Amino acid sequence: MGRLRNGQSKVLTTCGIDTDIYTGFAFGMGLERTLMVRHGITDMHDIVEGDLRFTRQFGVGL
Amino acid sequence: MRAPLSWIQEFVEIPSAITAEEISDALIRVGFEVEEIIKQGADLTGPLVFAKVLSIEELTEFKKPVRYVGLDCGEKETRYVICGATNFVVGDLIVAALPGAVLPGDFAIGARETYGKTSNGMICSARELGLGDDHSGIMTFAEGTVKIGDDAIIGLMINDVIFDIAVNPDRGYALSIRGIAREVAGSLNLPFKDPVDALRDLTFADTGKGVPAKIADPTTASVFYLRTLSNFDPSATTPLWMRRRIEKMGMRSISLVVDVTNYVMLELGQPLHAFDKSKIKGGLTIKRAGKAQPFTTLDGQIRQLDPDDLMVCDDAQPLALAGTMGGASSEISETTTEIALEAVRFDPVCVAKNSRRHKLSSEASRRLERSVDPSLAEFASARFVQLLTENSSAQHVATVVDGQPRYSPVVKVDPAYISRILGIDISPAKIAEVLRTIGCDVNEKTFEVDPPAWRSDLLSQADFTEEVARMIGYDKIPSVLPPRPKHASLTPTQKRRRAVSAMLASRGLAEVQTFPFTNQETIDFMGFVGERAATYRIANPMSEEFPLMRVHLVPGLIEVAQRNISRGAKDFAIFEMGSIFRSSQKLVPFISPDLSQRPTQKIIDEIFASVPPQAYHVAGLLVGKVENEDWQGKARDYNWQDAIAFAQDILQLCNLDWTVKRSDFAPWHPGRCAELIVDGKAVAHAGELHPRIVAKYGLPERSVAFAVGLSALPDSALVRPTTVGTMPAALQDVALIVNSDVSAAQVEGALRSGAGELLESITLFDRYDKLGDGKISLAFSLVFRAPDRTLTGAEVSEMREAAVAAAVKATGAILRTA
Repeated sequence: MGRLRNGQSKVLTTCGIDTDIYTGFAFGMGLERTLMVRHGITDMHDIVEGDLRFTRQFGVGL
Repeated sequence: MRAPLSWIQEFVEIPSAITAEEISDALIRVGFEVEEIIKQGADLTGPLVFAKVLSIEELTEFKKPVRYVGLDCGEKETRYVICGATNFVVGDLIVAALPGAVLPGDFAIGARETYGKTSNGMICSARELGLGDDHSGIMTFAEGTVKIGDDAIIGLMINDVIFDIAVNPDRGYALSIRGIAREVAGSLNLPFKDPVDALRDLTFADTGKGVPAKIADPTTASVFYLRTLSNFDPSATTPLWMRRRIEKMGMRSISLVVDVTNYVMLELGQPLHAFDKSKIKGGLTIKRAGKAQPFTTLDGQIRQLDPDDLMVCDDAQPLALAGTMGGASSEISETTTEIALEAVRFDPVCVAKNSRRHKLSSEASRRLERSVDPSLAEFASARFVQLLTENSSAQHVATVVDGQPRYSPVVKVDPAYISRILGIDISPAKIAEVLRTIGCDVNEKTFEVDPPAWRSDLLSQADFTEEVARMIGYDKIPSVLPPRPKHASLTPTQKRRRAVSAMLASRGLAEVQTFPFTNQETIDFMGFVGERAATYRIANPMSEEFPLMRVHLVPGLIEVAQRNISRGAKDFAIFEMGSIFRSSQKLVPFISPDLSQRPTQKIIDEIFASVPPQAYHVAGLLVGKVENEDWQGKARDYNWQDAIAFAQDILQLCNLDWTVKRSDFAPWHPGRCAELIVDGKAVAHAGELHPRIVAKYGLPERSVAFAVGLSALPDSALVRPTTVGTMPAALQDVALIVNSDVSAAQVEGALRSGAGELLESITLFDRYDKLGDGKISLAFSLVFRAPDRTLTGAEVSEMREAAVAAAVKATGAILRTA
């Protein structure tokens, strides 16, 4: 679903951030996969095909 | 990468109580995603036997090749079967499924009457046995590798569990059975038997007469082992156990020498390349091509070398694209008797560049570009010599080495740092234990950590922290939500986009997301020309059918509508919000700044400026009925007024003023399209789609669409409200007759300009078009109000007349009195 990497001190130092004071944390999340896990969607194609019978089930979701 | 459990077990003894699923979980826990657990042989039952082809009768009366084959299956009598393959001759060894066997896919084998003969079994291809994808012919075996009549399920080592593991790019060491077995052992807390240990003390008799080996530039490779062997009999065959292991990893068995290079690469992780020594002039040097020239790789393709390409060359010419693919001129063939085996620890970037430039990714390049254990050049090449000499007449002649392995330095680690970063308290003793499990040497007094040879990625404390976290288990780190930053909020642009999409959704339109790609046919068919049709071509499109960036949102919506209609939908409304692309500026080559320090602001600005602007649009497509027929009234189809209303509502939501005018704009029906103008710029279009488009895509006639250029809209001005008058209003109605080509907007504008400041509002409330003579009557209701007094009748009449006069002058209107 996502990948993460402990704040690489080299990246921080190169950008001029003092790693004795700050630490860093970078991560990325796959939106589609997370959505699939949260709602129990089994086929990723449903998310991108635009079939209204799928889309309508989600309502306006405000 | 595939890893058969039977091979993993050679390096880590896994108790039989541990299931395949538990091993898979153990790998996932330490960061290796197991994509599939293939239980090979689970859906196969015998009898399956090795057999020899005794006779072949070609049955020529059928359209496709059919053979009636006599087999010696180790039984008293010859067994006859029908076979549709043609890749075998009398004397070949094959594998046959006998009646009673069940092959994958619940395919039961029995005696069958077919093609006029009785077939008492089936000769099998690899695919039919569930061993791979090869179905181009039946499986054949080299003389001496299998015994007639033997159980082939055992002989082919079919029953096995094969893990298909996704190895992250930073863990190149795990692209080998050695690497995976080590991880399994570490995760399950089992002892690991490193296959390299048995190779450390291997020595070979050396004649001293080897092929010279040289690395021209030590930044391109650190160590080069070149081992030569002679006396090889090219008719030697690959032992069945080696062939099967190679096949289980998804590769093919080719010939003994090539198979041993692949086997060792798969086992240990170091790619090897075997040259036909007789084709080498002089010695081998690893150096750059130096000049552009053609080079034929062993797949038969002629490639144009870049001067920067790293090659393995002899004294005359390049012989191999380093770390990627060997050349055709020196490849192992059926006449090779002398072999030169190259094992090099190449610089990962050089191999990666070779691979990218030539769009050539091999098992070798994949491993080398992810960094290979520098000690393996020596040990993997030794393993090659060991295996080749054990399985053929080959003898080791000499070994020549240039360079030496370079290892990552020792790192001083602070155990408190690790605990602090992870947020859990781990004792220094536990940290040392974990680091030793992954292969490090740890001095517990000074906490100097010496990373193992195969881990060139462990360079800083942060890297070791990650290893500790991974081995202990990320699930052991407690989850704590960070406090919310106080100033986080949405920008005005973000708020506007969200408001627009929320409004459209709450009105019953469904949001869809399409790929932002299109093709020239679609652009042309939609009618886009000039600037509106000029877009960027994608260098490596997802699909060759859609190689251009989209120029408009409506074509994508039309395709979604078409898909929904093909699945039975009839009445619906959809919208999409996203970027469109017009090639408004020439693309420049990718700016890649030196990353050893933060780039200057000038470079950062250049990078941003190099990305062309991408207009952000919202578009909608309305198809079929907006209302069904029910007890309240008749059905009503979407019409172009609905499309225009949505476009206007969007502008209204953004608190903007606009004017409307008729327009002729692709992809809309000319004359049935409205253009909305804000601050003198056209920002939106809406109306009926062109009938040609509707017909081609199978949409209902009169389907309508709107498109609004959100990024072209000005910010909403700060509202400065006028005070609301409490004095009474005076209402006046005006009906004007104009030519039917005059728009209501024009007449209203003229009335407004003539009426003066005290006109509070004006509304069109009637349009009568049955006057004939090309004339229509428009009726407006005007409201006058003064802020400080009640208007007299005379004042109101005067303002009304002024308004009418302005309308008459501007549009040729005639006041309607009757």
